[in-house]
Amino acid sequence: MADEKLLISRVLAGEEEAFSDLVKQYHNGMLRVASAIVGSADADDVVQDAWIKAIRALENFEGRATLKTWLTTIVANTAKSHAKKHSRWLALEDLKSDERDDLGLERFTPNGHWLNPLKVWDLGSPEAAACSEQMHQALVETLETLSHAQRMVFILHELNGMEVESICNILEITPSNARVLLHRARNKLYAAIEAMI
Amino acid sequence: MLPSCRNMTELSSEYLAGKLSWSMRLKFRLHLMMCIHCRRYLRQFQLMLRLTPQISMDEELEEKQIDLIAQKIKQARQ
Repeated sequence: MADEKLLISRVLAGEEEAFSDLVKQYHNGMLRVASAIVGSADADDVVQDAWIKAIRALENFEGRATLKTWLTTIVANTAKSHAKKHSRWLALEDLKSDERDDLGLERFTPNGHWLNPLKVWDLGSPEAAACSEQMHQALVETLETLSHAQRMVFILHELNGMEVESICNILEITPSNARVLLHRARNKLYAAIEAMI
Repeated sequence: MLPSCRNMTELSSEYLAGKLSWSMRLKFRLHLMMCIHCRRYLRQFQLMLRLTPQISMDEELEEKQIDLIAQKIKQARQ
């Protein structure tokens, strides 16, 4: 937080290097959110607009959320406005098309017990596992296979640290729907890791 | 009635987020006490949650790109 305050004051003072530090630290995360909402073709424009809004509002940043969460909210709202303006905003309330079984019915007996014992993961530390190129690639590819709704919720929550309640405000969905989408995304990633063990 | 193993996998995020009702939480924990497979599932599910925030989908920005973007936002402020 102290680092954030210092960075903000340097940006507000117009310090050249501070702008670069700000971009270096947060730009990729913002691009990830914009891509998830509007697609990669429009993401650059959306992030640029979001940066302009953020810089103009930076004086009023009160530090109630982290700078990362604040910037994520700005870029997500900018992306939503962009999608609506171009009639590409999809209503996410209808989850009927979002498949129900998370881990796959074939894993369970008809009365809901595990059919086979689960594989034991021996990944070492999560940090080491994430560094494995093969694992990393598998997870990135799995993210691409998530439904649009699942990917948006997952990226906002897991990768950008946004609370479910804030996600609901941005995506205009109920908390229970957000949690269902998040859980389904998580289980797909679980299955992807397991497939690699 | 206790949740089935399949129900346990559907409820795990709610359980970890503390969103289950107290009675369902109790049933969830009772099932965990009795089922080694669901204990393993939950432990590995938590491990996955620690692993995924480290996914980076982006390539590193080049110095040139950073300067260009920084320049644009600096201009916007003026």
